[in-house]
Amino acid sequence: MNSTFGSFEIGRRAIHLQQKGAQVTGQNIANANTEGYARQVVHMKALVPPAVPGVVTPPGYGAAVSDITRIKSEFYEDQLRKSLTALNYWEAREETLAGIEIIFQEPGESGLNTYLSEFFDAWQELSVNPESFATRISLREQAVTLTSMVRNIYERMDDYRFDVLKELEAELNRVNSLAAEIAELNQKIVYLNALGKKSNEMLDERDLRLKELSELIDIRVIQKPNGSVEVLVGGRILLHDDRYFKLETRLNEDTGEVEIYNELGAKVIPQGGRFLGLVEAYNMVLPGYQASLDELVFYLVKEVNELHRKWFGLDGSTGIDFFDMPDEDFTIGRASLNFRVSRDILDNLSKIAASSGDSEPGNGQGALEIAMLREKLVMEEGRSTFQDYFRGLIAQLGVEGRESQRMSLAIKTVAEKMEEQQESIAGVSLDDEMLNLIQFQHAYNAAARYLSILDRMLDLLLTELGR
Amino acid sequence: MRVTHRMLTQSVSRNIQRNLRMLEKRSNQLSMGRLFDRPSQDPVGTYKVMKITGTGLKRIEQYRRNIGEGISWLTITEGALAEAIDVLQRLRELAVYTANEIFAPTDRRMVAPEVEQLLHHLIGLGNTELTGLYIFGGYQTQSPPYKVAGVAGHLLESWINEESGIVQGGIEVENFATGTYAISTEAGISGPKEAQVTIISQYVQGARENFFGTAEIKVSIISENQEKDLDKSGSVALEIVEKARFSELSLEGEEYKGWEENDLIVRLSVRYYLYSLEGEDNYLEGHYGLRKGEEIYLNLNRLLEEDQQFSFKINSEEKINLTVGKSEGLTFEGDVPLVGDKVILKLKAALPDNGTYDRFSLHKVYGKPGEEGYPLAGETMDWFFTNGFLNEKIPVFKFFDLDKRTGELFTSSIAVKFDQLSTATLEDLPAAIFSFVAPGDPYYVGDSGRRLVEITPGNTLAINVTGEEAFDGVGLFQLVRSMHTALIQNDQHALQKEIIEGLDYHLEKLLKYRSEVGARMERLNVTDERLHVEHIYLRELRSKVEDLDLAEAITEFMMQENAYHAALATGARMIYPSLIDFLR
Repeated sequence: MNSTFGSFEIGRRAIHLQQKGAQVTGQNIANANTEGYARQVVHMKALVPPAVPGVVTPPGYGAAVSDITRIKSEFYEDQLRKSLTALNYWEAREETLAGIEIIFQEPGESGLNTYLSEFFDAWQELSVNPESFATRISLREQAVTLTSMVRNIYERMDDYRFDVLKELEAELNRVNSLAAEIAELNQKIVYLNALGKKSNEMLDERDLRLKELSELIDIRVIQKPNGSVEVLVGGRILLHDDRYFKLETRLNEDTGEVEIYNELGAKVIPQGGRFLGLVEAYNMVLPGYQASLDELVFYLVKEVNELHRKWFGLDGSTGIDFFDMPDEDFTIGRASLNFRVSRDILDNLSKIAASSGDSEPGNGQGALEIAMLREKLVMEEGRSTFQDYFRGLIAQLGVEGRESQRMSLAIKTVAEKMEEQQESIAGVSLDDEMLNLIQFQHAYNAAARYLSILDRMLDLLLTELGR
Repeated sequence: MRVTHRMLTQSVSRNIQRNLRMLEKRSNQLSMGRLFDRPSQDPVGTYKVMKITGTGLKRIEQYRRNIGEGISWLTITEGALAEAIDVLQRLRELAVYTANEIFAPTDRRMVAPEVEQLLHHLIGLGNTELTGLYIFGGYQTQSPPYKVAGVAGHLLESWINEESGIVQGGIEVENFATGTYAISTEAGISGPKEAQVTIISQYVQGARENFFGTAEIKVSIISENQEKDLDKSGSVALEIVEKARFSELSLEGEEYKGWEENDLIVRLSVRYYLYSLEGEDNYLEGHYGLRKGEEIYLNLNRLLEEDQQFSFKINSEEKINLTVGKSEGLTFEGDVPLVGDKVILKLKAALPDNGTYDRFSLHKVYGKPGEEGYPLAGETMDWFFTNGFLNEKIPVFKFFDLDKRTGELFTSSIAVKFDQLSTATLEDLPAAIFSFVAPGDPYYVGDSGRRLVEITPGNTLAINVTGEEAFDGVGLFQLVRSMHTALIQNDQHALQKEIIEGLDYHLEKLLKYRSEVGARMERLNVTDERLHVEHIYLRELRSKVEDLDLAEAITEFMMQENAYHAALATGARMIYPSLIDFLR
């Protein structure tokens, strides 16, 4: 037996349903340009009347919203996060290397290559004109320029390292605050889940935060059945449900390296992201170039002084160091910072030892031998000259820089592809939404018409039949 | 694949970005004119450019500068050698000419001044300078490598450093040599017999004939009687004179007496530059000039006898007469006729005819006492002056001899007063004095240092010829001196044989070095040419590596510009429409 007003019920549900559809479409259109927003789709289902024995089943109850879901690919999201981690690592590395390139100013007229060359040229010049004070002045000025240039490069790398450390600390704060936000979102999502409710927007928000986090550091995201996510950083837990564990930087006194620990005291070793780029810059890249410079300076000072001490100045002085040798046991470590022309030479040009014999003002053999150090295979256990070594250093810088540029370009393409794929799935297409809107409009119109026809049917029944 | 509007905008923006990046890179290259300015833009190119610039171009430029320096050295050397060859040829002509028997002895003697002039010219060539450096000195480039040995040093403004015992002061270097000097003592007076004089360093300014300079010399006394003067060793002045009556001496404000009664006094002598004194060696006490009315002590050589009178003339006006013991034996008379630019001064040497006669000679060049050219008592002798006199000054003639064998020195000086001097326009007395005094043995203070410069990696070349090589040390000069002596002494035989043979030997030697210098210059020129080509080649190579092909770059730039415009245009059209535009 059919209920008289049962058909109205179907109409009412239909109107509500199409309104809901239009509403979700509206939400999609409104968020067409919202970052991280995944389009939502209304799932409708036909309502099935309960099967009661002995009762004639009506044809249907109409339809209702079964679910409003976000359309998004977890796979692409995960891939995107991974490629962002890699991309940001390479970009940070590229930045560091570009910074070092700027500091070295090679190739160019004002780089160390030129100054080294001019330093040896000045000795050559002195070997030709050992009596000339003008030549001595020019040699001294060349040497002073060379030493201050090296010190300047070294100090600028020190400054750069300090800046990196500051940035590292700032980025760490961002990681910590992102972890805090995600943990809070976790809590809300789990709570809503328990109530059987659902917030697609919160999920979007959480995805967005996870994406930001993945740019900074390599993360592993584990989806939990209760709707929360667990995040691991460098194999250590960063957040779990509504709890998160802060990261902090520590400077290792022995190695001078920066290390990262979590709140629980476990050492976290980042494997990617901007973070790794910065940690590497601080621990390896910058100190590496500084150490190479130190080595160059150490051997230059050693070789030049060794010869210079053997020779004689215009005033008969001998055994004088050309460059400062600060200690008895002069070491490579941070030799560049102490790279200076010795006081003796600065105070008295006659002490520049050009002569291989005493009281031989026209003898430039000593200077010539020092000039010939340019050709001597001193560096890398006697495999290269000073300039070869330095050029090798710059070439290495170039190769590393180029590698990181290429890597970041390649990974950027991958990341863009991933983003495009995700956009293709989750992005709002205005055309689609317009079509949907028209669809809902028509369904709404039809449902309204259905009600009005039902109304007329009832009207006919009640007014015409009862008369 | 589903395509959303956002994807379209993103891809349009990405494309535009990509185009802009390319445009930026190209425009950077265009504005730099180079393909890269950072190692990462082209690591291999960077390495190449740094190698080409740092060890290639820069070094070649330095080698070429070295070669330039070498060429100027060798050019000057070549010029000096060529001139020396000319002089030698002239000397040979003279030797051949005067070796002829028909030459009268006096005529030979007339040639001697020219030979002496040529000798000075040769010594001057040996002291050739290039920008203040003496090129024939080996490594000793800062003072003339050839010096003429004199016998007494003439100190100017000297003082004794009490601590080191070193006499410091100005010195007329050309006349001064390291060596042992005898100290004149009167018989019966004990004391040091010799003084060892060492030049520690010296610095000379000015040209040969008008030099002035300073020197640090060390004088030490070699005594028979060590215990007596041990403490004074090394702290005395040049000359030690007889105490005689002049026992008081003021030196740096300190009064020196003899160490013992009747002993010698040690005295610092100052020789006045202008020779304004007439009399003995012009030794004045202390450091001061003689002022009007001032009294000075004059220390005299023992050869001068008591009662001898000396007159001092200051500014040609005032006369100070000083009587020193006896005055006999030495008288001079002279007049000053002018012959061309040469002055011939006739001196009549009335030498003391006593037992001390053999202890001094007038001039070493002119031989031993009694030999020809050496004036004997009562003899008149012609003296050749190659320079004029200072007309208001009284010339002082110094007679000396240094016996090389014993190291004994005998000196005596005579001042000659010329009444007619004011009528003769004679100038430059000091030069006259030097030409008179100077011809001692020339000696070489250079060394055998070879001034090597690097001209290509690892290859060096000497850019100098030392005096040892070119002039056989002092061999050449000694030869010319002996030619001079031979002329004076009328030694025709020597002229015919040793002199001509010697001159031939030296000529050959000089020619050999001249051609060697020529060969070295040639090598430098060839190397320079090669380096020049290499420089051009390396520059080209560098240009290939780093320089932008402008035409290509501009074409590409414009192509990219077009691509950018196209991306903008298509982007604009793609973003614009959506379904909304078509719905009513």
